[in-house]
Amino acid sequence: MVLSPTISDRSIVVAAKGQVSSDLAGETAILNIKSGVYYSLDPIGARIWSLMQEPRTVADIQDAITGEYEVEPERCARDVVALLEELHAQGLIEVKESSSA
Amino acid sequence: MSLMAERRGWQNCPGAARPELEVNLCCGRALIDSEAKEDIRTLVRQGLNWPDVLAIAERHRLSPVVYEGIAGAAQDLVSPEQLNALRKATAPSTAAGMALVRELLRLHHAFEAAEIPAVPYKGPLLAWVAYGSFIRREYQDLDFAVPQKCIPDVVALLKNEGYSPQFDARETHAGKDGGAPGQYAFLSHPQEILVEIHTERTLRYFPVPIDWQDLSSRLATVEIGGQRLRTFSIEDTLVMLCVHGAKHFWERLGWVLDVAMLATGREVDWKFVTEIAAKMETTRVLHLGLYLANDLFGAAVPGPLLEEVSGDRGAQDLAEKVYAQYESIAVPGAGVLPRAMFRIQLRDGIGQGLRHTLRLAMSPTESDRQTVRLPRWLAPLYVLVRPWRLLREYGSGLWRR
Repeated sequence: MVLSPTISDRSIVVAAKGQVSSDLAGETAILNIKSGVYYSLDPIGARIWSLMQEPRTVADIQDAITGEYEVEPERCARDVVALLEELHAQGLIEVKESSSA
Repeated sequence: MSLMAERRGWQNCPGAARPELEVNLCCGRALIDSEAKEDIRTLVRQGLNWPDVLAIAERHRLSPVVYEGIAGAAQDLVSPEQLNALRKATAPSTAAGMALVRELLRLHHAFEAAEIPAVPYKGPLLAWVAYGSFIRREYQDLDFAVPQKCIPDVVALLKNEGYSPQFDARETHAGKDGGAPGQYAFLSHPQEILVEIHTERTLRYFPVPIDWQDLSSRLATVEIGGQRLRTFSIEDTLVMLCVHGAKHFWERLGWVLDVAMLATGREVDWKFVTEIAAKMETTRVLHLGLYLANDLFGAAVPGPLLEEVSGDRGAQDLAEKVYAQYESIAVPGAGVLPRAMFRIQLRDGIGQGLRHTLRLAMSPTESDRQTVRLPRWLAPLYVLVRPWRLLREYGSGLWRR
């Protein structure tokens, strides 16, 4: 399924180099070392961020989130991709297309 | 004394009977012992004065720890507004912490490129190593240690990186021309990031000058954001943290928690820690730091060493003095004489204590030089300015202020 111009559910996403992140009370703060800008993620965003410490498909992340939180799959797909788009735009994640696509 | 205090330790800490302080202690303890979460719930259920909880956390630099402790253990027992107030209290330290992490990496890279052996410690590095998170610990500056001989190069580099020295230019050449400041402080513009550079001349709270060759031979590597940083070993850091805490009379619980967190959950060569302390003539300083860390936060100190610490009556007397400071929310201002007595008692022997305390009292720092500006030819008179400034700032301590 194509969810956005840059990210599909088969895309592989992973935390980019050049950032550091830290947790506090289930939330996560991510610092873009180059720009100096930092971003805060709520507990669900923090969970998505923790999943991206290893390369994963967007579909895997959506499955994990729908399995752990009470959320409609469609809404989950929309929200996950919106977050990934933002993180990608800020240079905090790398996005690749799955070779098995 | 509350029942919980009796069960949890800190029996000698009268301030811990105040539930608002006790919940701060429990939140720190919960990072080490998950059973403390139940104590947090009990305290919240019993009712707390939340402005006091926040004020105590702010004073002791524990705001992130308290937010995490309450959110993790008792979120269902507090209102969303209250939780938000706790969260908001962490925002300044998160923003400052992230800015300092970036600056740490930038300056470390610059020092490395210039081949200046600057060793970062405390600050964000300690947060990462001891707490596993840059935002779980509060810090407001960056600390680097360098050999004194490198100071002229450090000054040139930091000026080039946008920093202004906050000390007299003559102190750059301490040893050849005048004394060293308490630390070489630099301030960046316009971000106002404070960087403190320490050398064997400025770390005067060590009774014995630090041995660079010795320390450098056992540096540890920490990887942050793809950069490999060399910092002091866990064993050296533990002794340094105890010296630093004692220097400031352990006014902040955050410093005690630093020791507790570093001592717990990782491999520590405790025999070596005690050897370092003995060599630096800081055995009682170490005992006091470990006693506080164990008693207040349940730090993992091995049995035989804990017995040794518990058997040090001097360290326990000092701990009682430290605990007395925690009774009020505000930082109490001890007079010069109690401060001097504390320092004398900290040393491993009375002779050492008198000598070292006298040396500290007669070693002018940048604060003395800022208080009175003397012309260069009168600079030796700063040794007289210092006792006068200390008396003016802290009082004699012969009566309550």
